[in-house]
Amino acid sequence: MAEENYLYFPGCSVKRDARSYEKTAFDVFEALKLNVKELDRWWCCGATFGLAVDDVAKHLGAVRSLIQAEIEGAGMKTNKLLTLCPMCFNVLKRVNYLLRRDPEKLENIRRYLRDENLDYNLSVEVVHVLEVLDRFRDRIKKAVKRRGDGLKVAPYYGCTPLRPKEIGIDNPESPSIMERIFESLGVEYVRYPFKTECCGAYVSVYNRKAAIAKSSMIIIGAFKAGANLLVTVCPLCHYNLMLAYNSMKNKPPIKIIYLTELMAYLMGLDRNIPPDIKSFLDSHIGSRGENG
Amino acid sequence: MSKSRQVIVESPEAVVGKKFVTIYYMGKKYRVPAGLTVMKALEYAGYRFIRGVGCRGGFCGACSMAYRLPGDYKLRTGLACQTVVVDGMIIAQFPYTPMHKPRYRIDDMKPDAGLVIKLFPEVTRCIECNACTKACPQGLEVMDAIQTILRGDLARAADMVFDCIACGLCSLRCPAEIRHPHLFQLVRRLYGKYMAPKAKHVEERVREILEGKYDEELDKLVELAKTNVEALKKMYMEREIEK
Amino acid sequence: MIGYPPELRELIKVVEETREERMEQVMKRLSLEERDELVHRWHPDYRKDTKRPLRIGPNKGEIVYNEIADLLEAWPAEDPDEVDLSKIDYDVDVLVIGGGGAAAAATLWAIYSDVEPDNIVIATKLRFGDANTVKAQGGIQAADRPNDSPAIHFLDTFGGGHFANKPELVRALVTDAPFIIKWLEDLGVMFDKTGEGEMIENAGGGASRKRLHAARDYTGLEIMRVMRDEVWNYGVRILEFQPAIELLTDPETGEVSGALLWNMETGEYTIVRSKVTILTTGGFGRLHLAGFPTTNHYGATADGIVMAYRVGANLRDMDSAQFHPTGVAWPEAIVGELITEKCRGLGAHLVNVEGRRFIRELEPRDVVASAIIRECAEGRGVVTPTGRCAVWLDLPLIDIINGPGTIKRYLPAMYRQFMRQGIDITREPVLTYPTLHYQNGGIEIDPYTHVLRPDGSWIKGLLAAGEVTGGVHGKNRLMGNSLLDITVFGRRAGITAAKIVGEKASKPKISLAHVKRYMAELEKLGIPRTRRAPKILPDYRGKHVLERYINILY
Repeated sequence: MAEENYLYFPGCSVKRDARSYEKTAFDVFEALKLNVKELDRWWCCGATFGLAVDDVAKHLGAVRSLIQAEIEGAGMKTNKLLTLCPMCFNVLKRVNYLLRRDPEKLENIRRYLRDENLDYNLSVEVVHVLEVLDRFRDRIKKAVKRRGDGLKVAPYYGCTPLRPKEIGIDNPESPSIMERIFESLGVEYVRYPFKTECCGAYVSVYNRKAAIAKSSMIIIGAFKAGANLLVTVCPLCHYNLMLAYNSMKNKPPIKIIYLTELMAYLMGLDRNIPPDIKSFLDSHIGSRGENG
Repeated sequence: MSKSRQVIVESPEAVVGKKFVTIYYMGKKYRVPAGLTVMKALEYAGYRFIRGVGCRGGFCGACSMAYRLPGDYKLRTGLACQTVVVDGMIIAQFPYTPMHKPRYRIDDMKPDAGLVIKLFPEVTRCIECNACTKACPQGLEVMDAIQTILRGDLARAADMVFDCIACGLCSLRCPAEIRHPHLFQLVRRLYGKYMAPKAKHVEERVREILEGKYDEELDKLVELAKTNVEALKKMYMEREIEK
Repeated sequence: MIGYPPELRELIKVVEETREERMEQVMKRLSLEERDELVHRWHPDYRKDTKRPLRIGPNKGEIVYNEIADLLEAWPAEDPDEVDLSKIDYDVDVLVIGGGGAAAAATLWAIYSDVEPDNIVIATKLRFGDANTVKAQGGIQAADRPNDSPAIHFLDTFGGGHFANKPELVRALVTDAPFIIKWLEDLGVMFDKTGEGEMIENAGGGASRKRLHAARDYTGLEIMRVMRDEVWNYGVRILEFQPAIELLTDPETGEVSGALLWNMETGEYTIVRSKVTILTTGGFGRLHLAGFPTTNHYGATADGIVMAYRVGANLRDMDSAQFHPTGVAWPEAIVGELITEKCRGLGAHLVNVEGRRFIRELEPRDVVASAIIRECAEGRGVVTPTGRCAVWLDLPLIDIINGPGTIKRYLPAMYRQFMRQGIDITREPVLTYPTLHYQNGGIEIDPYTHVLRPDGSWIKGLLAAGEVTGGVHGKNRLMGNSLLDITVFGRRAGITAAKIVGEKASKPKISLAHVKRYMAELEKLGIPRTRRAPKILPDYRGKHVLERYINILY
């Protein structure tokens, strides 16, 4: 197995809405000399519906992508399937976990997919981008080109990278993986009580107010703790946080961004950073921050 | 020299050999010549179709059908005009796929997946069972196309479903009740109208024609055609042929 | 899946062995005299036993195919005295009869020209779109490249038609062509293009420039479904499985004033009154002229010719039929289906049993068809397992010449059609023989699509477009000119219809007076009452069934 090789599962949100998350992530991967390749074929992970009830048909999308990773993994000498979106991560990893624990279900699915000459051997490991970045912290340190003076970052994990604990990437109550990455990046971060609080998730579809209340609490919490950046790794969290932020009458001077956008900026990889984020970051650290 | 061969109409009696197979059409048993399509075999058996038949060449999608083969649980689908009879097959046709089409003004649209999903909200209900792909007589990756629309890549989706003949078999099998033929039509039109690069040379020629650039030459040709065909024949034979 | 039996596999070896040598060979262009000789000797149009003079109507005395004469010398399907014309079911401005590309283009352009969509009815025999249009694979011609011009297109079309075309119609065809391509592109038709947007244009038989615009080999399907989608978007009323069986005329003025429709499923008739009626009923392939199989759709039974003839329309060039050179000759399941000319445009050779080429593959269609018939008649054909005679079409050459993947990318319909029969055309040649393809002649129109009498006067209220008409293609149509015909003249019919609607203050009266006059003539000639037209559908029921047929559910 090649340590630095990852197959990549993008998910629909990343492809449709969180474009800069993906682009800056790939800029970061390149700088870290990671070999990340998008699956030739992949299918929606199934989002929340995938695990709502015990139903074989609803696992199929995730299994198809796991099989595709198994097929492509042989050629690329890896069994690791990387995701940016933690919802996709959560669904793919949970389906993988369930199938490992439930041979009967696995057999049901195999029987269904045999029609299409597909089979799954449980060999794939689903990983989230935070785990990968944590692992290559040394390289991150070396790749940093700008000093993050003047930035005060609030890490925001949300739920899906952490819970349930069987598949979570860190302590579900008190994670520290993002903080470790911030240390490698050389930026200051704040402590506040809402970093694993739910953003409102899909509640925003049928009860906007409730979702906005949840996300507003997170934003204000981060701001009160002294942060000027709220950093997320989830397109859905990002969506809800922005929804809340845009609905505020008095908008606190805090910017909601993806982790990889911040990383790309500090590594001097500006080409895919949205202009509003770039100018926000510039104005906070100024040109004096350059040290390369 | 032998006399020019009399060619035979596509009447099965005239050309089929002695080999026969048994088929069951909506539960009734018929002996029909081997080697025929389901459509021709049923006509041989005495049916004269009104519905469930169209171009007879695999293009119009009117003759979709489902069948099973002996000893096989699989419900197969196909076109009656393209599928050859197999001994023991049991067959039903689908004369019509119920499916209303949302109306839109193509000029007011944008090549945006969000707009497409607004008109066809059921797309988001795809559970990736792949029944559509298995049902497609054209062998298209129907489910992948649905997924591609969901992730917003209309150009790729349009390419994937270009060969769709709108038979409706995928829609009949879809647990998410997606109206694939109409959906795919919209996606292709959005690509063709908004995303494919425009043919500038066509526009240029239209402009030249409107300016009357070819009028005189064409007037002359029409005149020659009426008064001096021999001169026209000479021009025709001497015209240069592009390699 | 069937695939080739061993005896044919043996013969395929000859095709493979001679391939390299044939690729070097340049086939000679025939002179007009050589073409004439070949066609006169071998083409079904020139066989004595296939035709006879008409005994009735405006073109009495003219020679037409027997199957056409049978339909024109026939009694109407309805009894005019039994039809109650006092109750009008649809009273509209425009009635479009037919469900193919010409119908769709006419409808759209009538709407663009300010006819209310609610004031249009489309009546068609099968479903809207079940037409020959969707089977047109190769492409649509338009002279829009710098080395081409409408004048060259004119010359190609006129020469290909044996100089028998109606010049004004050819002029309209070639002049409107680039505009039509532009219109279709704006509607969203996915033409094959380069990354810069330049149309990929192919060679076609009889065309001296590469001007075939294609959408893979589903060109007709793509054009039809886009236009159909647009008609659906306007909410036009479409009566399917409800073909017209007779036109209606105003007894005082003689103008056409609507049609009598027949519901194929319930058997009842309905009456449409209209200010303008547009005939777009297509051609005659399903009449199986001279006993040939056909590429045509199930409903191609020349109904429009029958109806128009009874109101006095002039027919022209009905002595000529187009036999597409390359129909499927084996396997039996798809006999008669089309192998698009695009295959030859992309370099496929026609090869006889000896492994030799025998004609320049891109001569006009009647010339190539005649050459294939000659090869078979003179014993150089391949006899198929079902006893037909055929020659090879060496399709694998396409990928050899244009690079691997060309067939799958640009001829997916062809690939699929043969794959379903166990034949892989990227590796194996196919057996081919001419098949009845197109009605070259038909109802005479002027460039505005007015239907003409033999004296050149208009039959008021009646327009026609597409394969039902004659004159555009003379005695032989070029590839890619039929999709162009239906869109150019369909459009013109829609525009003319809108103009007539605007000028006509009141609706005409309706009657079947012209039918009664026609019946009197039939009576005089002693035509048996059992012979009736239009035919509506072909009948392929087995003989063993019909011999025991009792008609109980009268």
